[in-house]
Amino acid sequence: MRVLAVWSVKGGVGKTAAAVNLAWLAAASGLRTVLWDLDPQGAATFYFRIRPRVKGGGRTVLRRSVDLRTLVRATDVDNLDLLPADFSYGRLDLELEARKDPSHRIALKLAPLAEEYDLALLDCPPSVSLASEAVLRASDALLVPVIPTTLAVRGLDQVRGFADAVAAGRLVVLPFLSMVDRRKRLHRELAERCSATGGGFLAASIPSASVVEQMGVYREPVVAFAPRTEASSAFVALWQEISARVMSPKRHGG
Amino acid sequence: MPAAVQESEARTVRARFDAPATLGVAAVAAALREAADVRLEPARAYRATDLDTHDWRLWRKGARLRFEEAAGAPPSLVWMPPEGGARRLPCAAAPRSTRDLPPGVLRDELERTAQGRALLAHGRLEGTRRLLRAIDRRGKTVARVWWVEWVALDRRAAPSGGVHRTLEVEPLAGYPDAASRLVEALGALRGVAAAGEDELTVCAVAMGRRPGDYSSKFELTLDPRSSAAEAARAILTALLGGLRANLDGTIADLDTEFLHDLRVAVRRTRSAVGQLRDVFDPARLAPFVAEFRWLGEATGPCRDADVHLEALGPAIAAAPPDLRAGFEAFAAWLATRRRDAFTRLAADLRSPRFARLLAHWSRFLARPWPAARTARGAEPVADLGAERIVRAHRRLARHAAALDPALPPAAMHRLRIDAKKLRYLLEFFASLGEPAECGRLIGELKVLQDELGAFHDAVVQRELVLEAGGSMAREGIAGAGTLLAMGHLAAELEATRRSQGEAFCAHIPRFAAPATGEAFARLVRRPSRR
Repeated sequence: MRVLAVWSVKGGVGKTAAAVNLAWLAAASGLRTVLWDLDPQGAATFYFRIRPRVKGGGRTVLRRSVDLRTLVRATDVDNLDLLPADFSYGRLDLELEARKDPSHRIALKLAPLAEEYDLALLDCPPSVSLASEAVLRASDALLVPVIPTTLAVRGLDQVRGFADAVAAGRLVVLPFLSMVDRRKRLHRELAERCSATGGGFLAASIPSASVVEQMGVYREPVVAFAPRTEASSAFVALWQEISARVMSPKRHGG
Repeated sequence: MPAAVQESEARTVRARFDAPATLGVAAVAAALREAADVRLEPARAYRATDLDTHDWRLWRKGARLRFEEAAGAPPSLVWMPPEGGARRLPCAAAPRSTRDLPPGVLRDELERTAQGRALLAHGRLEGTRRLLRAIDRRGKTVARVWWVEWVALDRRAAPSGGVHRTLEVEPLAGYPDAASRLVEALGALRGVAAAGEDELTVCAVAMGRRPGDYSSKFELTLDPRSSAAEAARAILTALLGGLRANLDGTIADLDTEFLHDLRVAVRRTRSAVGQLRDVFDPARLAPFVAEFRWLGEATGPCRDADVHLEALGPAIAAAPPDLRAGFEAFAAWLATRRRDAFTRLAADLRSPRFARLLAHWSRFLARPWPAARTARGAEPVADLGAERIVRAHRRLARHAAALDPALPPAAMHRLRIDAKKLRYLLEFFASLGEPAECGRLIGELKVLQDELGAFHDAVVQRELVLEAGGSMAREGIAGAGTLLAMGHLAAELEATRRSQGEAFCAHIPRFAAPATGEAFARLVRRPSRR
């Protein structure tokens, strides 16, 4: 099972939109996929019409004796299950601190899921914390949505620094441009600069589009309810790149 | 109460019902709405193909593999593992083997079960299906009920039998209560009953198969009161069935196990004929002995090439990296040899000579055997079986006593044949003895046979590598890299031959001991005294 975390230091960058669309595409490609909504806001859980509540909350989830498979909810999509969010995840740091070896706890919890899933996608809250560290330690790759603004691009350096400190050499950091508004000159210039200088950015970028916001209305990923839109094509291209990088046969089987 | 929804952690098992012809889907929907908010979706054309190996490896494990084509959805492969749940993979066509699938958990799980065997269509159905979707107040699907009206298809894809109406409740992980309510509501509907005959069975029967109808394992229950002649006829008839069951798959070259099993059926037949010859009329038996020897020889070269090719992959992987490229030319040479051997084999199996052998042998087995013309045909089967087993063990023990790891391969091969004959006898008469004890002794024999088999394969493969090296060098198709790689392989095979010979020599004294012989004797005599 490969573990991909969608994470950003900053909120509102299209993190959850990326997580739910990528999870849907992974499932549609035949991969048994579980999406873990770790964000207490529960947006990913909301998009799949699932109740954002976990019996016992974050404290129970982190217990060694609790198998995450018992908390899984099927989505309406074949091959795609979800571990719902819970408001108590806001205190996940405190719960982790109370445990032994907190930074490895998420990896420990994910381990049994490998028997049933090819891919675990973690939708993480925007923060730099003990929970983020535990997520990074559990992950094979880190997907980082970056809005093409000066500060956001600079913030990517912080992400890389944190990733290096936590899991140097093991974690693949895959930034991609998100919420790109081609009408804005700054977005165009920064997007061109990012692709020209490389910087490890994936080639696919996600446009800023109202159809992405409509996910909240349809309560489905864009790729499901508007597959012919530019945004949907962008998510498909993004998934194809990510899949080639982290789900290739050579890497499969972990 | 119909088949209940079982919850195992988050995974769930489907419940199936048969619906009467008088019941319409609208009435079903109305009944289900008493239990949940149910949406009825439009009818869609539906075709399904149930896949399994020739010997039902998936079915035996409690798993299912189905290729589905439904209007409005891309075709897909559905894997239903024994523990419940389902895994769906978009798939343009039904895979013929796991090699047709992309890497992933599904392929890995399937490969572990199918173990390289071809995936064959054992059942086909077509019809229409409708989804009754139970949703919660968020509009989230919490359970699915599939209404399917279908007919089984025969081998020519023509409908076979009447129309079936099936209701299937598909529980979803995390929502077991919703599914349970629907199961209860369906169970209360007049005329609806827990599914009787399995859908797979109905479809397989339409295609001339039945789940579990073939196993490479020899399974026959003999009546301990029957005569030796009756038992011999039953054994040989069962073996003829095994031969026939693998014939088409061998000729079509579906996978290498068909030929393997066909050869085993031939070897067992030859062994049974030899071991039980006293119950036959010798004059009538002689032509068959010669013809089955021909058949054994005709199937040998292709099987040898299959074994070489199967062993070559791991051998290359274990070779030093700088030698691996050198194996390419040898692999190509081997593939050509296999192709040629298969062409000859297929011609033999399609020949009038083979057709005659099958026809005459079937007739021979079907006709009455006058006991007066046979030496021991009228004896109780258990007595003859026990005597033959003890004699075969003694012979093995005698040959084993002269054993030395440095013995020429021919002597080891003779032991291998002894062990095979003994094992076949045990399998033929297993139903007359204690199953546990019989299983234990067969298990011990299997260990010996595996060691002897590995020894024999190493000898034969080394000979072939040396022959290929000479031949390829003469033809100018083997460069220095190829010859170095083949030299390395020959040395590895020689090392395997030695280690397997030593392992066998270490095991054999215990197996050849008189106490083991007594255990064999007790095995089959016991039931006749009951």
